[in-house]
Order: sequence, then structure tokens, then C-alpha cells
Amino acid sequence: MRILIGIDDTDGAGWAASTARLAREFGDTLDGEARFIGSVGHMLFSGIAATTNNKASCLVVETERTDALDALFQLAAAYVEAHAAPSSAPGVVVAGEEAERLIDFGLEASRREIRGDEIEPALIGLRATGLRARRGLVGAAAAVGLTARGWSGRWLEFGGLRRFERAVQARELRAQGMFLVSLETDAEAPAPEDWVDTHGWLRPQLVAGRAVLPLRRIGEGMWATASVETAKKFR
Amino acid sequence: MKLYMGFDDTDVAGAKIGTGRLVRMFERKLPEGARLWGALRHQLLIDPRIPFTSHNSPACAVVEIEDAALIPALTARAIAHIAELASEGSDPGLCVARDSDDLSEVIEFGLSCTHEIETQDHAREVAARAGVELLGLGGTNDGIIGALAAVGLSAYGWSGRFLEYGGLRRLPDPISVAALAEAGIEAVAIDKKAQALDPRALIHTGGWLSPRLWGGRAVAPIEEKDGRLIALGKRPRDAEVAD
Repeated sequence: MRILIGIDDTDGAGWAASTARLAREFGDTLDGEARFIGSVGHMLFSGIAATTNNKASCLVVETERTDALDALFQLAAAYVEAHAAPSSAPGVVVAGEEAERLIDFGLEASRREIRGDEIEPALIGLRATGLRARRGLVGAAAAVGLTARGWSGRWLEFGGLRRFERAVQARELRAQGMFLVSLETDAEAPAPEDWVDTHGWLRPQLVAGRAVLPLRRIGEGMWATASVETAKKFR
Repeated sequence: MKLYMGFDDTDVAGAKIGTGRLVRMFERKLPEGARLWGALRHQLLIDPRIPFTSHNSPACAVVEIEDAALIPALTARAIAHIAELASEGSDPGLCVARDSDDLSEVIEFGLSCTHEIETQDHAREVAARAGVELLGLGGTNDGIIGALAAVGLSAYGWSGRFLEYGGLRRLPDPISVAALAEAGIEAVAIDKKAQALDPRALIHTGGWLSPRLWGGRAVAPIEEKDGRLIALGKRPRDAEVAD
């Protein structure tokens, strides 16, 4: 069973760990509970006050345990409570197949500010909790919905993204489960021995539910990841 | 079910009808109960040791059928279509496979053809093991290699671009994200934010919309340029050569 864990609004001004990092580190604690597939960062509507930018995280985990939803919900809520900034207003949402119900909510949260009275109806019947002002519930629910939809966001963790060198061969990325797609007119498949310049920032997109790297050809047998000017906005 | 129909080597240099166009024209030959889901162009290895007309790019018609009993009629029509329109002196090949077949080895063959030189013998072996129809229809029959590769790459679902997909050429420019979705085309932002696009946002295509096959779906990669959302298209030379 695939389970999605949305987390948002865990950081505050001057707080060292972003929500993305907190989510990733929580994923690393799940050994024995579930397989941590990765975490996806989603940009939401930019017109509202946010710590740095309005970005929420969603962990993707897999497990055969029948009680996993409740167990993971308790673990996530406890982890966020222990590690979120004191000034934050975190939200946590955990969902299995019912994550599909949050797709429209996620799309709405991508394009406009969600009103306070829209949150509770969207969360009926779902495992959701918030602390203090609970602002993070919107982002947490949206991240779950958008990840369930599978057509936006970037993987911030997926099979040890951070261990790859800047230049990496296509076959190594494929072996990690990534799909490499060419943005060139010929839309050709990169060869296994081709080299990919990741600019030191390997963050595949979530496309069709998978981890996908759109590439530009920069030379014979050489590619570069697209749309990356400078690293480090997604932490 | 979906039927993959791969075509290759149907033209010669200077031919008016390239393989891409020939495959698009096949839509008119489909019998009742069959519908063209999409026509795809795939890129294979360009190497001086491989004889090809211009770009070593086979094409695949992906056809939806309700009844498997239509397959012999579709195959016969494809053979007749090639006989009617393929260039004199070409080396046409045709491959027909169902999406329910075990195409894993055909996919491997298709991927191999993008960076290795493959042989007719290997193509025939792979097709026989997979139980898919592979027909040489003239000349050297070299087209069977690309025809099988086109099927494999279409089944793979992560390369190639659409020459036709649900009235692609009749879509307006600009077109909203929602209208693209209604046409079955997913608009995907490829900038750093990779944010879900507003369904009301307008996408500019320049009249060259050419969705990519990503995840087995028609996908329009979208970039923002000068405050406008632009769909990655194709260059005019492809209109001249491959279509």
C-alpha cells in the first residue's frame, strides 16, 4: 500500500530546518515501519505570507502493514511536534487511496488562497492534525492531493539523490528508477552511457507519478538537466 | 485494447510522403470499431553505417480497438496502405503488437536501436519470442528493424513525440491548460518550481504543438518566456521531413 504524508508550515524565521528537510529527515526514521520512497516538494499559491516561499512537502512511503495509516499518522504527528519551530503552525495529513479526494483541493491551493472555512470540509474522514494556528493543514492536504495527482512538484529525496556526483551516467539514474526524457525536437531516449550534468542539483520532477528528469542535449552523448539556473532554492 | 502498429523505411530521399505522414494518413483507412489514439515519431540512432532516408525516424500508429477480431483486417489494410503509398525503392517494414502482449524484450530492442546498430535477424528473433507480427514488405526489408523499434518505444512510453493526437492540428493557439486536458494532453511546467498550472492559464503553441510521450501519455512540456507560457514544439524542418 502506498501512503502519502503531507507536512507543511514547520519552520519559522531563523529556524535552521526547512519543512522539506524535516520531511526528509522524518522519512529516514521510518526504517522498519515503511519503505521511504521519497519526498516531493510542491509550490503552492505565492500570494500569501510564507516563511520563504509557499512550499509544502509530501512523503511517499510503501508498506504491507494493515495498521500502517494509523501508525504513520501518530509517528508523523509526534515527529513534527518535536521538531517544528516554536513559532510555526504545522499541519500533518496522512492518506492512502483516499488521497485522491484531495486532488482538486491541491489544484485550488496552487492557484489561490484557501479560505479558512474550506479546510475542515476537505479533511473530513482523513487523518489530519495541526498545531497552534494549524495554518499548515492547507499545505499538508494540498501536498497530498498534488502528489496523488502525480503531475507537478519535484522530488527532494528519491533513492539517495544527494549522493550522486554532478556528472552522472544515464544508466545510473535509470537504475535508481528515474525516467530521462529529452526536450529536444527529436524527443530521443538518452543512451545508457550518456553523461548528464545535473548542475549539482538533482531534483527530478513528479510526472505521471514517477521521478522524471527533462534533459537538454549539450553535446554528443552529453545532456544537462533543464530549468536549473542556480541551486539551493529547494532545500 | 490498444494495438501498436510500427512502420519504417517507407520512403526514399525526396519522397513527398515520409513515414510520419504515411502513418497519419493511415487513420483514414481504419475500419469501424478502430480509432487512432495517436501517431508517434521515434528517433533511432543516426550513424553512417545505417542506411536511412533522412533521420532514421520510424513511426507508430497506436490504434484502439474494441474487438481483437479486427487485427487481421487492420494488418491487411496496413499492408495495402504501404503498398499504395511507400516510395519505389524503399524497404518497408510493419510490426503489429497488442498492448496485452509481453513487450518487455521489444521495449529493450527499441531502446537498443536508439544507440546501437541492430540487425534484421535480431529483430525477427525478438518479435518471434514476443509473439508479435513483423513483416518485411519490400526491398531489403530493413524496415522491420525500425518498425519493431517503434512499437517497443511506444510501449516503453517515455520517448518520441506525437505527430497526431485527437485533432492536434485543429487546436487553437493560444489554448488553455483546461482545454488541453480535455484534449487528453497534460501540460507540465518544466521550470524550477514545477508547479501545477492554473487550468485557466493560456499556453502559446506557435502552431507547432507536438506533445511528447511521457508516462504513456501525451504531455506538453511548458516553459515561461517573457511572461508567456510556451509549449515546446517542433522545428519547421520536422514539418518538412518527418510529417
